Amino acid sequence: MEKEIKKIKESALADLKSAGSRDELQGLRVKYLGKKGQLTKVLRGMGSVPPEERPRLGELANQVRQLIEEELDKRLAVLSAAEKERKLAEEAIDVTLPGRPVQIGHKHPLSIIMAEIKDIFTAMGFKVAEGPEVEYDYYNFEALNIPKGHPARDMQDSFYFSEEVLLRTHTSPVQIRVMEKRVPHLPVRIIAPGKVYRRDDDATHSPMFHQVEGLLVDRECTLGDLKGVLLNFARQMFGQEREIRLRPSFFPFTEPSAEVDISCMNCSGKGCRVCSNTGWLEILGCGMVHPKVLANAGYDPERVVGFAFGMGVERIAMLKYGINDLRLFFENDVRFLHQF
Amino acid sequence: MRVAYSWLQEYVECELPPEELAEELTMVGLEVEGVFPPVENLDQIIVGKILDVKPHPNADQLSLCSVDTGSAIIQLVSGAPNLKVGACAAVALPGVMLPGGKVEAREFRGELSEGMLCSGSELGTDEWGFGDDKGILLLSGDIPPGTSLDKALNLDDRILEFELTPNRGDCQAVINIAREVKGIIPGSKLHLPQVALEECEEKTEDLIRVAILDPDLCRRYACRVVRNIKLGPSPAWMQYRLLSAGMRPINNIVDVTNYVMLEYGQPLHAFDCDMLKGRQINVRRAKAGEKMVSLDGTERELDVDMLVIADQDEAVAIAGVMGGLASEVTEKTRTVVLESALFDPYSVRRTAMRLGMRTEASARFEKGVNPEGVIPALNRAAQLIQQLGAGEVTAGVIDNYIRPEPQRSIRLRTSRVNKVLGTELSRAEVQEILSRLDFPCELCGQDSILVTVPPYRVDIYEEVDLIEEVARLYGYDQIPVTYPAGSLVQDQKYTDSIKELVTDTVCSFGLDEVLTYSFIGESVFDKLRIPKDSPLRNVLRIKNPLGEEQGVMRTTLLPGLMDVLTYNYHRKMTDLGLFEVGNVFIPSGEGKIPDERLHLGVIACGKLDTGWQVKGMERDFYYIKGIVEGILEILRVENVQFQSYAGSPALHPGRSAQIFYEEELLGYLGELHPDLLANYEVNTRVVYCELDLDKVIQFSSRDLIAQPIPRYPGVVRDLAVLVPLSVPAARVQELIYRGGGSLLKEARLFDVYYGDQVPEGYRSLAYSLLYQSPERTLTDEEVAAVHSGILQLLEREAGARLR
Ligand SMILES: [Zn+2]
Repeated sequence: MEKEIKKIKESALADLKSAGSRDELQGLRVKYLGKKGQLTKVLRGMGSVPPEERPRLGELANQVRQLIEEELDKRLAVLSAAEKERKLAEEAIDVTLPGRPVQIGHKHPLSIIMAEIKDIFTAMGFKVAEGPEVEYDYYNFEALNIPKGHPARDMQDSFYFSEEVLLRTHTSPVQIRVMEKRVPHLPVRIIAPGKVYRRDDDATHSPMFHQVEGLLVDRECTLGDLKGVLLNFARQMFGQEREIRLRPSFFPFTEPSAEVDISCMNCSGKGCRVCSNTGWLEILGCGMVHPKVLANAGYDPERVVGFAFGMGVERIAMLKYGINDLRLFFENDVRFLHQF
Repeated sequence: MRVAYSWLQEYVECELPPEELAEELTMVGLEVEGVFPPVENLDQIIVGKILDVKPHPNADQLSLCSVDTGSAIIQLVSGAPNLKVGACAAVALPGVMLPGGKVEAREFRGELSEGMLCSGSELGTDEWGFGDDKGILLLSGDIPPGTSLDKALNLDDRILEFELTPNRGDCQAVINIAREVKGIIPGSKLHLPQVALEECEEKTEDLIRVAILDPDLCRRYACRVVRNIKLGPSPAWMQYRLLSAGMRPINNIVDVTNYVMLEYGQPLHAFDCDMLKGRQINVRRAKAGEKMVSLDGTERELDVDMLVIADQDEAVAIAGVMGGLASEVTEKTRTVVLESALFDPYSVRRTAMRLGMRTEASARFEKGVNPEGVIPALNRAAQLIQQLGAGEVTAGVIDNYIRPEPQRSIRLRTSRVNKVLGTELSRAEVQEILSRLDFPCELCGQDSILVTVPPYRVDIYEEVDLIEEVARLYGYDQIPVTYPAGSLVQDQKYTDSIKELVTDTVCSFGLDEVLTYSFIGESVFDKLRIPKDSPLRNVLRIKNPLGEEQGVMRTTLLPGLMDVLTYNYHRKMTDLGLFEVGNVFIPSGEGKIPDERLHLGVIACGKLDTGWQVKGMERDFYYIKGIVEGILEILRVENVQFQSYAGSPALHPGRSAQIFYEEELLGYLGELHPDLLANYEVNTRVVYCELDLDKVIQFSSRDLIAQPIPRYPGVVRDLAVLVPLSVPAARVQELIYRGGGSLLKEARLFDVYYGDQVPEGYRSLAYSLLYQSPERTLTDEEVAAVHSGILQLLEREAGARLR
């Protein structure tokens, strides 16, 4: 009997070694350990063994049973791991095939730039304000110290609806509208983005374009503060290494007035084709709010000071994106729009 | 305004090279647009001496010249007829750029020419009076060979071209630019022309009489008379200066008037005295229908708002704009009246514009000339004519000065300067800055300076004007960089955030933003099949549009979006989803600004992006409806109704809807009518929607209160019903919610089915219903009761049957 048990052990271990699947292993479990399995059969024949032999043989049979079970489990673990591997391998896909398309919408480049300008100035504490695109002559000119007969009021420069109503030629009327509402409170600190219109249509002019106006009025506020705000803007918009330069200029609604240049980002100020070899690029106009304008809006120019600036969004976008044709903005060719 | 650097140097000491001076002037507010030599590349042309001339062996028309260039003796081939041994000529060596191209060494019929002998027109010097059209440019005098031609011709100069701001009319005068130069160069001195006249005995007042009949348009009129006129060309130096300023020399009298205008900024005019009938000058408004032939030979029709200079009978000049042909100075002129006057800037401007003749004179009057410069300029002109030997000046000036300019004194507070500029200048520093401009200063009080404004500075009237003077001469770059202080008050409402929210939302739905013009052509309404009586045709008309296509303000975004779609469609980009957020303009009465309403327009056609796994879905009605629903959800506008709409000829009558919030129309959506698309030659279905965002946001529930997450599980039951085709889905949905009461959380339509097993006239709608209570777990019996209640309601109210 002992011989038989040992034989079962040998044959079970050999069978296990050659088993190639979980089903086979299950078969072996039944074959050796099942109710009608070989080992069970041997143990059933224990009655014919002399009693003094029984404990020893019983012990031996149990050891063999345990050994087969352990080996079965081990083999099962190896086989399941292999099977899992195989299954995963079968599931492999071509990761280089393109993904399922996501529909992406693109903001208009001018919208993007305007949002950037707004972000920069709102972070500096400016609120966004708006005004109508069709304006009264008073707000567009008169209140801004541009009296009747002034060159800026030529019929050829503005679109008129009637003697007193026209398409605004700049965003500056928003200055007056905001101040009128806010007076006598301080500070006034706004930027006003929007569409403006001039009677010009050629390669470098569009009859409709966009401006962003800025205005700050307070008890204390200086040309130095204006420089600070604009320097910060230029660096946020065009890079930390930018410098700015203010050149004296003239606008009826500011005095002193200045044109603002930034150091050319194409050549870092050394001079190149983009900046016509000057090293500088003009980006905006600005100045200290003219006392008459403050007075027109109801403030006492002796007690408050202000600065204002205005920039062309198309100009900024062209510089930033290296666009050299203004018409692209209003043609709305999707092959252009999809680049932004 | 153009000025030769050499001319400026006559009036002010300036060691700065022209390019640096230009930069400095730009930085004080006189922008110099360009600095260039009178003739380009002349510094590269040299003077050569012709040593020998012999005929070309192989060509009758050509000669061989042996020329000394100072460093070598070279052979040049030339066909010029005026070759002369011993003469000095202009030589361009190989490599030099001429207006006609690059000079190269080349052979002419077997003979090498190591460069070329140039004519005035080849060099571009003929316009400056150097050159003979009969041949090459020959120079008089003995000039060392090798000298550069710009030096030999005294053209080694630079011209500064100014782009003046409109307030600096005073700098349309060379002497006033010189004052600015003095202001920026410390310690420099001015050398202005000294005027001394010798008058003959004859009295001016015996020769001419002046009457200002319309003093509102002419506050000063002065004149002098010059007799025994000897007309001829003006001297070369004067011609050069006129040319460098861009003016053409005419004759000595006219040239002097132009020269003094450039020098002093005071326009002058010379009349032939004998042509003034009655020897009378009347300064008056033109008569109705009055006509005059101006110097350029054109007959001008004048109106009663225009000021003219007239003799006793008729107009002889348009004041401040242009003289008349009849009184022009000619060979026959013996006596000349020189006019120097002050005309009203607005009047001159208006007249010049109306007649379409902006002249050097009108450009100066428009911006304001120095009221105290009238007589000095007049005397300067008389002096120059005398100096040139072109005539004799009679005794005395006629000067009618009706409204003399009061002297302007302005109090400038140092504290105010610092407050505006952010500087810490002392009073002495401010005074020093102003004295550089020769502004007389007088200290007053502790802080102030009383500044007397020179009369030529017609732009300075108040304290802030002086602050600007201080700022620009102190230097904008010297002003410290600081940052504004101050608290922020958030009290301004604006729609801008809505605009941005909508833009970002629609972009996130995969559509591209476009920007189109706010003006449209009125004819587009027909193209878009907008009915004649539609309120959209009530437009705001531009009085002076650039063209009919941009004649009126848009009342809808459809025209712009349709144009953009068409533009792209015709360029083979046929899968499009585009939108615009912008204002439309609703007239609110003559003389009033319109109601500007923020609209969203969305236009789409073709398919969504197709991949290898998914076939792109059509951009159809339900696509655009999904976008509308998405926007309304983001804006938190609930309970919006879509009502079928067949009332617009622009839209497909069976595939369009109006969007309502209660009784308010928010907008519409639908397929565009095929006939409309045919008008644009667009051969595909196009869907469109337009929302009045100003209206939509009125109904936005901005206050959000978060709901607790349900604690008890819900029960999902499907409900598939057959519903007559006449019953809209919205009605079925409404009935389901009514029947479901508070236990029904959500009803989601997941299938619409026609065809097999669905009887004619019906469709099958399948909903997934979620029942849930916040208080307890629902029992099957409770759910079953509500569910069958819904079915009964549908059967009763909508003729539905369980499928
Ligand atoms: Zn550059």
